[in-house]
Amino acid sequence: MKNQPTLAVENKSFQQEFDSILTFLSETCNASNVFLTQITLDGHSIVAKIGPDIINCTEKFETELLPYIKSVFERKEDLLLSNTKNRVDLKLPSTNSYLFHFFTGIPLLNSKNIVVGTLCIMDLELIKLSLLQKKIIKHSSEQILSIIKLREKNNDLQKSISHKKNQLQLYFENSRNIAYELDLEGVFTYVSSNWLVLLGYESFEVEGKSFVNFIHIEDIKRYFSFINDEIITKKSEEENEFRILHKKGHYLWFTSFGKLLIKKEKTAYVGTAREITESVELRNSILYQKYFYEKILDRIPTDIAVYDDSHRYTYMNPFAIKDEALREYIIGKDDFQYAKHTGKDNLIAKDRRLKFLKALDTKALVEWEESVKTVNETTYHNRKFNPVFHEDGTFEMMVGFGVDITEKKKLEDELRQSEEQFKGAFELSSIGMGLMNLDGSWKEVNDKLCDILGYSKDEFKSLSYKDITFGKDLNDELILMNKLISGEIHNFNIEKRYVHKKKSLVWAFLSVALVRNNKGDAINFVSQIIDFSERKKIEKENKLLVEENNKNKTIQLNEAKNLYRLLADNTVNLVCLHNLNGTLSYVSPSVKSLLGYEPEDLVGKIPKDYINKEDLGDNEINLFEFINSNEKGAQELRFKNSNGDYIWLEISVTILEENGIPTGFQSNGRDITHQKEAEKVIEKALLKEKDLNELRTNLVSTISHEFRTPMTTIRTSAELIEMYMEGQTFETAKRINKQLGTITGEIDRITELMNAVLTISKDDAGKTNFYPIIFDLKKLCIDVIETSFDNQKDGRKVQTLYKGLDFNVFADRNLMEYSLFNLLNNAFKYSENSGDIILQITSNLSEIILEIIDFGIGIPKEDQHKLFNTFFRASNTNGIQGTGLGLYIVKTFTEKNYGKISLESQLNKGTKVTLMFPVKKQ
Amino acid sequence: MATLLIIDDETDLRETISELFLMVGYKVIEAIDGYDGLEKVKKSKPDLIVCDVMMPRLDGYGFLEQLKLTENSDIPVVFITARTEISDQEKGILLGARAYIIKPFSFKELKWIVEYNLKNK
Repeated sequence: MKNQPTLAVENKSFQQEFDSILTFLSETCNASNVFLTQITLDGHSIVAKIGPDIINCTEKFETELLPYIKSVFERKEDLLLSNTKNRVDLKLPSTNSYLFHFFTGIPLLNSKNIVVGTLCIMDLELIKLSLLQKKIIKHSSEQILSIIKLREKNNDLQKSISHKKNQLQLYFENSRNIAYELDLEGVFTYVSSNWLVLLGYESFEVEGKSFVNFIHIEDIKRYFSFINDEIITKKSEEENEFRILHKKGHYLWFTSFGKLLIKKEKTAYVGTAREITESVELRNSILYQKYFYEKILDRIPTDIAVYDDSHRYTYMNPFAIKDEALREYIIGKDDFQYAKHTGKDNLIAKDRRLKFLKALDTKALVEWEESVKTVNETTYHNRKFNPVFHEDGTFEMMVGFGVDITEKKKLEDELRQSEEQFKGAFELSSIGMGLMNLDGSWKEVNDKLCDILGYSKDEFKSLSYKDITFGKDLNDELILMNKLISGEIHNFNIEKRYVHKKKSLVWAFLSVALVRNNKGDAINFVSQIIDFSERKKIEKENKLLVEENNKNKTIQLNEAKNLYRLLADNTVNLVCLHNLNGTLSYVSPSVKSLLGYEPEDLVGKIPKDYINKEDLGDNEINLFEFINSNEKGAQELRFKNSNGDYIWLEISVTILEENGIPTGFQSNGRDITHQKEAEKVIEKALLKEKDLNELRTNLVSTISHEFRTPMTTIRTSAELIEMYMEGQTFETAKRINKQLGTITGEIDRITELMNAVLTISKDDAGKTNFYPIIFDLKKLCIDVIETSFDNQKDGRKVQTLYKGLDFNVFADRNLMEYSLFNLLNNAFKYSENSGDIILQITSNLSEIILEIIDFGIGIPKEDQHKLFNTFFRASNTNGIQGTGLGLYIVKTFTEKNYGKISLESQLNKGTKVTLMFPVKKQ
Repeated sequence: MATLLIIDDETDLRETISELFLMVGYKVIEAIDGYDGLEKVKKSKPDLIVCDVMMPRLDGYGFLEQLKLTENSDIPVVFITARTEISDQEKGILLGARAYIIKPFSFKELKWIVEYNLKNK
């Protein structure tokens, strides 16, 4: 009953209308009782009624009136009755019982055509209704229905209104958005409860106050221009962000989307906003950080670049590339594209790519020095690739740094050079040199100065120049020194006397200069002291030493040379020395026996002129290349001897070096003429054999071919004679016929022999067709037996026996067929009158074994081992035709087919031939 | 009885074979090479042709090729030859020969093949 539609007459709003309709009906029909029922959750109830209050007697209503009303309901049609059967006994509560007649019941249907109530008329009298009265009743019921429908509509409308209300409420309650309402003066007329919670206020602290009191002063202008826009355009493109003061004094960020609302005929602004303080702060801090780092990156005097994992630029600071357009271009490109774009060589890009990959691979910083060559200069850069990885180990980015170190490098170079130069000059100088502090003490002296004056370097450190100068010369020097310091002069040269440690006087030539720094301040003196006497002495000594040295060297060299000579002169091989250009400088005497020349004939000559042009080809001989040309380090070359013949020599060459510098070559030659000749003989023999083989094959083939036609003629002629002889009975006819048989038999034998020889000869020449395939050996056996051995004249058979499942072999089918035919043919041939032949195939996991067994004459033991030879026939085969080639061919073919053949036999008992093939899985 | 054309440049062999077939009741025409064979075919329309392969002027293969271009292309041809190579046999069969008999053969063999091919013409 829950969803039972009703008239939904809850309040009294329609009561009046109903009452007037019912009164009208009561008067028109002259009926005492008219009432309206409806279905409610509890059942039927009276909605409106006119007449004596008979119906409130519940008991009567349910037991007596309700069946009528229900029948109206169920039939969904008008019940306009006026017979006595429809009598209802109803009693007025205060009086005696009356008899009522129920004569009209009209169902009331709602818009969905469902009965929701009835209109009923009763009276004490049985009234006969006129047509007009019926019409009026009908009309009244329609009026009631239209009232009900109107009622329904209103009801729906109200429901939907209240539903919307609830939704809005819910939305605000559950949303993080706050809502507020401002009047046109910007005074709060409403704030949502979460507004208050969020910002820490009580509603009386806000409502009635101006919005300006709460909004951040910097945001006021923007906020109100936003509202103005909103009012004018009725829409806002962007969200408006503003700060509102929390009760505790700090500001919270909000983003708002406003809406202008007409409310109670005056315009008000209703705003909703969302708190975004956290995200605004985060954004600002990111922006600040970005600004901060970009500023640093922009100004840092270092090339900085960031790459993705494919070595493409994702960032580059302005220092690295000043040109903004180029800097923008390079994003997303790699160094190769950059090089191409700027028309530069891509060598650097290649190098960088390698370094990049190394950094990626090792996950570690890679640092190197890069030199960039342009037309005018070379610049140097210290470069680094520093890979950066996420916490989970995956690649995030590659940061590249570059610092121009050209200046530094130049300076370093210069410094090093000058230091080296100075140091070299200073230490190795044959002049005594010293650096002297301004106070006259020695800062540094060279070995030579120590030599001249007899003091050690350490001793010098505690000496002043005054201490080692002869007293009478001191004054002159002092004056000059002062002039130097004052800048009057830049340097001076004097001859003076020093005092040696051993107190002897040393005459020397002194030259002094003053070194100043770039500010012009004096730093130290540089003194150069030349000892006259010493120099003279040295010159003399040097001369002696050089002579002595040279002498020793010559002796050593000669000794070595002599030893070498001794070896070279006595070798049977050819030993030569060459200058760097290859010219012979020494030739061992063995050349006489090898090539017939005197060694001196060849010295100064170029070896190339003696080498056979065929061996040289077009190449100029270069001894350096010669060394590298061959792994063995040796080459076989023909040299012309004194008779003009060529001799084979195997030559190997080594470089001669002195102090790491090549000075010439040594070559060794070995006579390999005999070896070469032997090789030639073998080669010839092989060639000859090959020719012979070929010749044989051709010969056999030609003969076989040429014989075939005449043999056919002979054979068919004999057959023709046989035909002529048919039915002839003269004396010799029988004998002629016998001879004809011999002719055809012998022709057949020659043919067989010819075919066998041809087969073997073809095989020897490697011309046998061999196309191995996988096939079923069992099937082939069946085929061969069916086509060739099923119709033996003597009625004998081949008994077959197959053990196993898989009989696939990998072999040439034709060769196998030939072998099978041959073996079976043999078996029959050598076992006349000795029963059937057995063919048995056994297949196991690794091999297939085929056995052909006969119970014939067998093979004598002493013949068995020769059976597979050509033209061999066992001694007991007289009278049985055969070529002596069959088994040889079978063996050859079987082995070609990856198989093995073996034979067991006993004289007069029989023979078993076994073939074995590896299993081929399909 | 059927008419056979025997083409072979070897007179002895050709005549022997011809006589053998005559003896067993065939009508026989002879030709000495391919060209001669083509003319004889045109003239006499034999029921079957026995043809040597290696012949002067036009050999057996050439004969068969040309025969296939004429209205008599359906006359069965049986090759007799001294060539033993499998490739030669294949060539003959591919050209459309009914059989390829290697010399030397027996007349019985040849007769059997001729009869078989006449039957299954």
